[in-house]
Amino acid sequence: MSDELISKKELLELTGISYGQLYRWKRKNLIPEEWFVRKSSFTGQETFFPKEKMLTRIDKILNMKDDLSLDELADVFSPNPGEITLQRQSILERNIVSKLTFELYMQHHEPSDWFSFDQILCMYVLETMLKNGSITQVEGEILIQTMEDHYGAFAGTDCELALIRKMGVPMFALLPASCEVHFDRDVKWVSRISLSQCIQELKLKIGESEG
Amino acid sequence: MAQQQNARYDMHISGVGKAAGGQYGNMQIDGMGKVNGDIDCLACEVNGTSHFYGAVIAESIRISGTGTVDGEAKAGSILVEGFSTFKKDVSCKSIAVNGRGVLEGNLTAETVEIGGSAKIKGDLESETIRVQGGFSIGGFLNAGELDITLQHVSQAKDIGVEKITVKKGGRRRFFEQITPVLASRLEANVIEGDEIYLEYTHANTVRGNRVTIGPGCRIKLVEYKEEFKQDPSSQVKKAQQV
Repeated sequence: MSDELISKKELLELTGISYGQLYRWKRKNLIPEEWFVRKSSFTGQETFFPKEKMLTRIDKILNMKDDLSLDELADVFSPNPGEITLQRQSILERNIVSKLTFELYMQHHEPSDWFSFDQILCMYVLETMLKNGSITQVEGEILIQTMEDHYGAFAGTDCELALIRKMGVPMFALLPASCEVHFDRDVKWVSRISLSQCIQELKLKIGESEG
Repeated sequence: MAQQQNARYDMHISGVGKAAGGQYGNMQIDGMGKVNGDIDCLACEVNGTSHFYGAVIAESIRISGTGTVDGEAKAGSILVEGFSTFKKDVSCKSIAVNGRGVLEGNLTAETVEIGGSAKIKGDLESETIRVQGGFSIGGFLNAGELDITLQHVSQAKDIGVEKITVKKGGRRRFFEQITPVLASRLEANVIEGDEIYLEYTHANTVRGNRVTIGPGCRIKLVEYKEEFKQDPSSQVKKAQQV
């Protein structure tokens, strides 16, 4: 992830949104407070934003704001899990995760009918990684364990799930978002996915099939 | 839920008294009261002096005497008629300050009405803000609609809004005739918004789509997109279309 910053003025010119919109979105928590970076410049203090994140976020807001209200959008972007619980049946029927993923997940759990958002998220991450071919089913089991043991510590904040391999030994790590980690040269990064991204996708997916 | 509601008992302190934290129905303090822990109640009403050592969560809070809240305050509505201090963040649907309110944290609300004076050390975020008195805001003021009728000297660091209207109050105050230092005005570093109308405002930078500078302003730089109007009695050092 690049750390390039963009000034408020450039941002507004580039995206064509107005000051009012920008501040409205901030009030609605569509744009997190941490992205407003205050820095001194030759004209006094100015506000900067992380360029890439901000541009994708604004693009998403502009695309989705016709279908969803600002409050619903805020819910999508919030890293908080939300109060969604789904039944086994609807998870499968709505195709939130495939049957295969679901069964793999269930091998490690007592059978139950209702699943919390965190559990669904775990399945969703598993499914994403299985689908893009970065992990095997056995590694998927480690993933489930990692998520269950440690996701609690990161809940509500932006974090990433990383998979590395050294000499064929897989390792999962949960890291705070966009932090830098360096390993020795035999270590290969296999995959690194942003969980808040997954949360957004998952919330949209659940929301869509509901509406 | 209904059962929980039933378990709430009212608390009424008349004279001098103390109460522990917990869940209450209505809480009323007439006289002097201290509340020692976090409380969660329906209506909280203070008619004398009170000190809340913890957080206050209530459907409505009304402080008519003096009140201090050490913890966070969360409420449907807050009405300050006397003197109140909130030491942590305050969030509510609506807040009206008709006396003097000091907020040492951030204030998040949907509507804010300031009829007396309010001092906020952190940020203020609200959909609509109506001011008939004076305020001082140490952090960022973010509002949908900000409507100010100037009565005192009001200050804010940075203001970002959809629409801002600043007008001078009708009455010429006594102090104003003695010295212009006390003249009512709004002082801000940066004001940014879509529609801006300012009177008697001192600012470094004003940026907006449609900017109208009324009488009595002193502004260093105006940047506008669509429209700019200026009253001849105002000083604008530089105005540019961007």
